[in-house]
Amino acid sequence: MMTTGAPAAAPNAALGEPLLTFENVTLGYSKRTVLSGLDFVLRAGDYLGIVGPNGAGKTTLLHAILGSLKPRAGSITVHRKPLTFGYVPQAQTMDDHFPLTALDIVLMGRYRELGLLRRPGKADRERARHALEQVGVPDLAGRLFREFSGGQKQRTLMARALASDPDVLVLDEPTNDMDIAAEHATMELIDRLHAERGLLVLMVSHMLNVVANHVQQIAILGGSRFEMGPVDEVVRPETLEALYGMPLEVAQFGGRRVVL
Amino acid sequence: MKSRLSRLLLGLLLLSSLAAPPAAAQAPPPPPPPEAAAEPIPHGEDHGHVHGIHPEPGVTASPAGEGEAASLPAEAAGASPRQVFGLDFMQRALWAGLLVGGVCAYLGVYVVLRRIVFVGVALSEMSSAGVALSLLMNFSPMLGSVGLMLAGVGLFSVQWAPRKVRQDAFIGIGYVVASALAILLIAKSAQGEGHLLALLFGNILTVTTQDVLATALALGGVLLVHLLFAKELLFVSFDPDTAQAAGYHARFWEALLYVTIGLTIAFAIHAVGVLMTFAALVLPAVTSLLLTRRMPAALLGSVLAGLLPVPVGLYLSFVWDLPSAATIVGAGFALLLAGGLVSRLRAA
Repeated sequence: MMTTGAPAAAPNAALGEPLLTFENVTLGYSKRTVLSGLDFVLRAGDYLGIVGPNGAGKTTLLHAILGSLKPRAGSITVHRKPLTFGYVPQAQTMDDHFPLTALDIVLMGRYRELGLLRRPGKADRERARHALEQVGVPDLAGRLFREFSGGQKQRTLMARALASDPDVLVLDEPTNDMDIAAEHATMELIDRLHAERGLLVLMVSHMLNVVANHVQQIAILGGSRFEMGPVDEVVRPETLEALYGMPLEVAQFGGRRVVL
Repeated sequence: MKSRLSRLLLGLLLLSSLAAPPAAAQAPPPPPPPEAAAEPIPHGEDHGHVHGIHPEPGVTASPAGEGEAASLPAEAAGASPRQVFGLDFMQRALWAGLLVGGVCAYLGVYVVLRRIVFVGVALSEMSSAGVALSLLMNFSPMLGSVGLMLAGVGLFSVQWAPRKVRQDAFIGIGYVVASALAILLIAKSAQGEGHLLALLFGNILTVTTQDVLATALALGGVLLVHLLFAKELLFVSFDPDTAQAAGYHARFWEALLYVTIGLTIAFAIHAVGVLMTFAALVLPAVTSLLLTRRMPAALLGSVLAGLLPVPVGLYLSFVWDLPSAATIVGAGFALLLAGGLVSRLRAA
């Protein structure tokens, strides 16, 4: 059951303000239960990584957060209406055939606010260009998306999410298929956007070693289990062994947390 | 190419099952008797041969039978474009062709980019089955065509078994079942053979003024929807997941796209036949996408590449006595080859 909390008219949430509450939620498709017993609150300014092996239910949880999957049991309360999501899909899943420039794509982030029948104007184009500047690629505006590297595509999609002035920034596997330099630059950018804009940032990834060194909170999915909390509490050998079903160690190397 | 081949095979199979020998279908029909002026010439029996409809130069007649006088030039092979398009039936064919060519070409950019070419074929087959159903049940062919097309949109929108079988397999099932249904229904219809042949090969030359007006109204409506909701249709086509997350009802907009494509196919088939309709959905869009680098340019270029082959193909079919729809398709393909060559030269 999806319930609606008190609507708030203010466009931006105050830090710490609850945005979404999951209460004993069960998620699944048709007769199959994927995740159950989900109890947590997401607040403005949270920085959460959702991690787990392929097939653990990360995408299922993401769809429930985005509102496109209704819970089979329990309730999801949206505390702000409308809650604006800036969704950043996996760059490599995007269609490369459309002859669209970076600016065309970032402008899509403005469509919802424009509503039906209105076309983007000069102000929208300026917002889109500003979003491209925020992610460090203003020079890509007039270039074709299909000709970009993976990192450039990721930044363009992040700019589109930012152009919608979101309450929640949701990133799906933001560093997939990237080399180590692009991965580092992308994660630094996400850290900076979180710090500057005070957004609730949700990042889905199967790369525990990357995510655990950037987010403040982490949710780890494995089997039918779900653990969520501050990184230091969750990324521990005993928790990880139970989730992944294999012996794992957590070490510190050069100031970074490494799961071995 | 595959679907075109299957259509030709289907047509040949059907022809072989008819009482008349297949060669009869290639031969020009006799000149229409004077009383036939009030009745449309049977579709498809001459594959749209211009001279099949006007076998004798100088005959004053209108193939669509609207009683409008039009004279053929003494030497068709040497006729000027002005003379050719001065004929009433050629004018109607030109207008119908331009309408279908332009609007199908615009939608074709979405069809090609979204890789739903097969959906276009399947919907056109559903429309054909709808016409067959209407002939058997004795109601308006357009109602049958649009009705079954909408049923097809509904059926193709459902994810039947997403974890077991890919959706394109169900579209394929829709295609073959609709094709078989059309043949079965036609077999039970006393008057249907000519109509099915018209659907298979088309006959732009027998289009009536009413057909042109109905097509203009329907395709004008489709174009208006696309112009009004261009940004929503583009967003949902390019990235449905993000559009859904942004608050769009992605399935609604996808269904709207399919309905507009299906409606266009239904009306276009009625006016110009399956062959030209399907060609107009694919050839101009590919030509334009090879040559352009921006979405607005791709849409505009596709419309131009959809319009140009119509007068060229119609004129050539007249002066060379060729089937009109196939000649228009040939002109469109020649344009595609030229576009491909230019694209290669640019890249070199």
